[in-house]
Amino acid sequence: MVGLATAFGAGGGTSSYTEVEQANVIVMWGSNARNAHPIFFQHVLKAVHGGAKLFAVDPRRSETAQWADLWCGLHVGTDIALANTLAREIIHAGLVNQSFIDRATSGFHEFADSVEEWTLETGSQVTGVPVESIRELAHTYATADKAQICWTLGITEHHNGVDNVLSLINLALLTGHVGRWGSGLSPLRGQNNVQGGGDMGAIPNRMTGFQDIIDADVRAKFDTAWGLTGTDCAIQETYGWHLTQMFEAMGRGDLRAVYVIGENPAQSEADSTHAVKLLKGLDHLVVQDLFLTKTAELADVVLPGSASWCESEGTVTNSERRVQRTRKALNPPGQARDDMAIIIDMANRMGADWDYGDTPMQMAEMIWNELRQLSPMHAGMSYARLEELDGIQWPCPSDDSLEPPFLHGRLWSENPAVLGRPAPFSVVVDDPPVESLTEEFPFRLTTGRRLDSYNTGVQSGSYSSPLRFGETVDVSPEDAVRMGIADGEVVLISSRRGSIEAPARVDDSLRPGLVFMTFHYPEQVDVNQLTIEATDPKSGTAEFKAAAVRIDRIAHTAYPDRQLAAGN
Amino acid sequence: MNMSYHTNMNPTRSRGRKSSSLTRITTPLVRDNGVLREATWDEAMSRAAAGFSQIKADHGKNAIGVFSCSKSTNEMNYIAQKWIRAVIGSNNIDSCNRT
Amino acid sequence: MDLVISSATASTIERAAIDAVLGPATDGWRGGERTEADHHVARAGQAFRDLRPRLLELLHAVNDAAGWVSPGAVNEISLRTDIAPAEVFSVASFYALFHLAGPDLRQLHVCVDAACRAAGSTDSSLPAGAHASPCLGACERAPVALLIEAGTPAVHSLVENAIPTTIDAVLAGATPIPESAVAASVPQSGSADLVLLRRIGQVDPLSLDDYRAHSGYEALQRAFALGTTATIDEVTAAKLVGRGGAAFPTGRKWAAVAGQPVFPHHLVCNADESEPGTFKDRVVMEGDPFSLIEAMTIAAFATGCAHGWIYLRGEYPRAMATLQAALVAARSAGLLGDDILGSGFSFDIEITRGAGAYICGEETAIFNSIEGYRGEPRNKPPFPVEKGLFNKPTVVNNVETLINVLPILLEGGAAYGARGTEGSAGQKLFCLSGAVRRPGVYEVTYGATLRELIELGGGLVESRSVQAVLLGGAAGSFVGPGSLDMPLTMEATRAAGASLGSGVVCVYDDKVDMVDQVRRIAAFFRNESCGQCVPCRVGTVRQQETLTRIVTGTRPDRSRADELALLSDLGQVMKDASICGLGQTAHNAIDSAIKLGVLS
Repeated sequence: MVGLATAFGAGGGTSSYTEVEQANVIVMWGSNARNAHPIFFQHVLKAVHGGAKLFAVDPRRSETAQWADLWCGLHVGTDIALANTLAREIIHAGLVNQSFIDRATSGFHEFADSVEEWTLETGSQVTGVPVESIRELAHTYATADKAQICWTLGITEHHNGVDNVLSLINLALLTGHVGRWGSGLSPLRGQNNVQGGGDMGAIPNRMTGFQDIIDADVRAKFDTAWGLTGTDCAIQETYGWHLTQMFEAMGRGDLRAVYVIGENPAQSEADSTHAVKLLKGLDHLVVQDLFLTKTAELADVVLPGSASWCESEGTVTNSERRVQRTRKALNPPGQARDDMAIIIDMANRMGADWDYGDTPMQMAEMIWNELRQLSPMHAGMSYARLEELDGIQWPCPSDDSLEPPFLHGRLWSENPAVLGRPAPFSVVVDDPPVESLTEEFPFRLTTGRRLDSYNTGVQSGSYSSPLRFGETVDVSPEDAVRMGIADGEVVLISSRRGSIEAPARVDDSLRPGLVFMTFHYPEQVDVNQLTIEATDPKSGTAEFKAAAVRIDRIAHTAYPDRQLAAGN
Repeated sequence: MNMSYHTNMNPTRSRGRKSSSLTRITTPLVRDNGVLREATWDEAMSRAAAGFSQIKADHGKNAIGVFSCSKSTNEMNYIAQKWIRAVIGSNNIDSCNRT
Repeated sequence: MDLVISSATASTIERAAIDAVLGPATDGWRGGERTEADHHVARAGQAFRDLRPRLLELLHAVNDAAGWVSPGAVNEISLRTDIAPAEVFSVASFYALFHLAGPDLRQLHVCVDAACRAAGSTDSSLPAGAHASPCLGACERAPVALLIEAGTPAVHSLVENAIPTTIDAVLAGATPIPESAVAASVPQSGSADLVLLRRIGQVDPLSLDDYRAHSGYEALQRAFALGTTATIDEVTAAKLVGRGGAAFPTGRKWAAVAGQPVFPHHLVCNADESEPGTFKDRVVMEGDPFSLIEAMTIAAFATGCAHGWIYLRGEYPRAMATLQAALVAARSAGLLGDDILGSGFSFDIEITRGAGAYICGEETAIFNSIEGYRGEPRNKPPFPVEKGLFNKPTVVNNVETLINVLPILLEGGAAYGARGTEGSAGQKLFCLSGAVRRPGVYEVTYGATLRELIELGGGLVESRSVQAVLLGGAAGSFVGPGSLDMPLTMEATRAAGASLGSGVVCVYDDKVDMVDQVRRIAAFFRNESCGQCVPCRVGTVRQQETLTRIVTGTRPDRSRADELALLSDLGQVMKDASICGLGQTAHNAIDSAIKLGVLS
């Protein structure tokens, strides 16, 4: 979201699902949506069956790549190199949308100079993708009538994830594939309400409605509405800590108390051994959850909450920015309480005087109406209207009209007043993964998801699936042969941070030197013990996608202090 | 809690695994002498609120943070960020997304 | 496509057969050697989805070469085409000619329908190694069998005189006697009265010079001179209706496709002649292939099609070889391809070889089959003229219908339309088989009676008498000796509650076990129902069971009247609720047999 906000001022995917279905060219970049976003992929498939060309840029020939007309199998962490090479080729082939660049962007010349070194040959050498493939992708994307670039964590879960995103945005700016029907940039979100969480201001640098905390008018508006003006709670002008910074602050002893709501950082963080240690060191840890997660086991107080999709009233916002109602069908079991009610109770016990009614329905609608006063992009979305229209995409500033389904149409306006701030090109520099491969750690480990499981398995683990085969370390056929590893043989995988065991699975979607694991089974195989904590300074996202590991057959292991995979 | 997966490395055996962490918690829990025990809502909420108030008093508002949930509703996320900002006075809130 | 492929691998023979269709494997992702390049590039997507229509060809290739479609071959086809193995298997298992149980290098398919059955063929006492087959479309030479010898190339031979001793000899390894010349199937050959059949037996089927010497390609020149609209007008004026059984006005069909704003338009020639007792299209294709090619070219010109398909029955090896050679000759003479005869019109034809599924003669099932899917009929509407093959406007015409276009253009539509009767214009081919002296394809002008046709065929053998006549095939109906003076026109047969269908006239003499014939028809429909819609899938089974109970008396607790009422009810349900003609007509012959009293 940071990348999109930098370029366009708003951190959301620019297109609607309908537009994806009607695109002529779709580039899935670092996204195995076939497995990880199966519903979104149905929209992609509609486009594909309608004749759209599909490209997949991914180190693995993932299930998504198997659907693609062309798979570009780049080396892990060379996304910027590939994007810059594509940019140079588009420029040199004369395929830029010059009038769009002149009118709606800034920094083109500096950007063009910065990619000049990225000839097809250089790009090919760095990324591993053949010259012809790069040329085909560049030309097809640039000359398409309607083109989409979609990405997921393969782009963002790097130490330079924001730069990765910016490098993709550059391509859209070069070709004018943004701000109009059918063309756009679509980051796919991992959960039903990642978009909404950010939109609501549950992030350290933005208030509700994606309004910048640095903006004094914004702070004043919220201070007034919340009655904070002149109190010691008046909103601070500085950004708060993002996730990784919070863990760093725990390490320093600066962060002493944490309220964890529906999250499981003890298992979901890169380098989870370290995360557990830090959480244990807190003075006060309150966990509000449905289940006694690994994190809840460490808490001082555990508060049983409500499931968001069936026990709660409210709204969620999907990847196309559509706000939709979610309705309560069940009461939470036992003494478990509504999540909003618990937080309101917590506030009032600490001296606040919040009154949002008594029932979840009253609370939800009163909260919603309060935030509509504060967030212009939600202003026009009453519950009644959300109901009537089956959800509304933001921005929706007016309660009697709707905006187009795509964002940034202003960039195509001839009127400078409407056009507003031009979208800046970003000079982004190729920056390989933090952990380089060495003789000791010669394999690149990348992580991802499978269709049958959801994240750390808290929600999906108890349901059986014929597709599920447990955690494995997937290795290329070439490596398996070279090392004499049989399919299913348990091997030891070690990084500079720890060692785990897992059965090997020979998978021809991988090339020699590349291995793959999920993080769906932390209690059996805690993959995040291996991943690296290096994070992007701009977004705080960890580099889950590129660790350096070694693989040893158990019989010949050189690691005497190996730890059992079971996380004991 | 029974988290004994030590030997469960056989891919075929992990199908349809049942994890005890999937049993819903239906009662508030508080830690006494290092062990979690059941408590009333009033006791648990008092403990939780008092803990935050104490830390704020001792270490300042920025010593407190919130990990919010990307699967929860907009309304829950709004009220959670309002809590950290308006009740605590800190901007330390972020949404995880890998649970 | 995300493919999950089992460990079975293709044999060298199977791989070679697939390579012969698709060319050698291009890369490690498609069954070739995995190289450095494969670590960074893979192609799939549209280029592979375009291979789907080649699935039947691929299955034929491995089935022909290896004598079956093995799991390894399924996997290899999947790898090469990006079609999931389950999809490949589902298609393979739909078609009877694809052998799935294990290699069978020498398959003998013995026809057990209609004329062959009347001539003594039976499915109950076949020796091991012989398979009972539905009608093989060679009823004039009944009884017959089809020998398929796997190999590269596979050899398909029609076995005539397939009596038990012949069957035993062939199974023991004997080479069958070559089949008789196609002229023998047209006893009228050389007669000046013939219009549609006039060249058969008189010309070398593969000589373009012969064909031209007998007014070949004059009709196409005439069409080019007339232009598209006037060509369709001639067909309309000739009152030509479809000869495949449904009798839809051809001119209307052509005009509907010609007027569709969506392109491309497609032309499909339905040569899946599988109606038991039918063999006229085969005789035309074997004896006068250029007439079909010329007629298709005219149809394509009139309706704006650039490409045509001949969907040919898989059991017609000689028709296949003849048509293939004729297409090559026509192409090299500039009669197919770009700018035909300098007209600026371009058109070409490919053959899709069926694989043993009666249902594929249904006009929408044929599309699914050409597209590489199971041959299941589609719901209508949309009708083929609007959304047919590959969802584009499509003309589907039967072989006989198409060749009528030639005399229509040569004589003029009005003159041709004046032939025949008020309700049935023009010439008609009949497939006369069974207990007549000279079975074969006969051409008459509409209006001839059943007796006249039988007389043309030399009357009955050895002073036997007519017990029943099957008109229109399994989907048609039985008539008795009392109907011999019925004119073989659409109006007269309709008035008698029968139909001409595909022109089947199979004569049963008084020695034939008619109960057995009727039971075989019930079994035929049960076997050939595609299973897609419930009324037909369940109805054809229940119909056979009920019929069996009636004739064997295995349920004494149920009165005959009750069983007949049930049978009639089943027939009505199939007629009302089946989505295609198969289910809708599956009760016709049985109903007529009951009314005729042959079951009592």
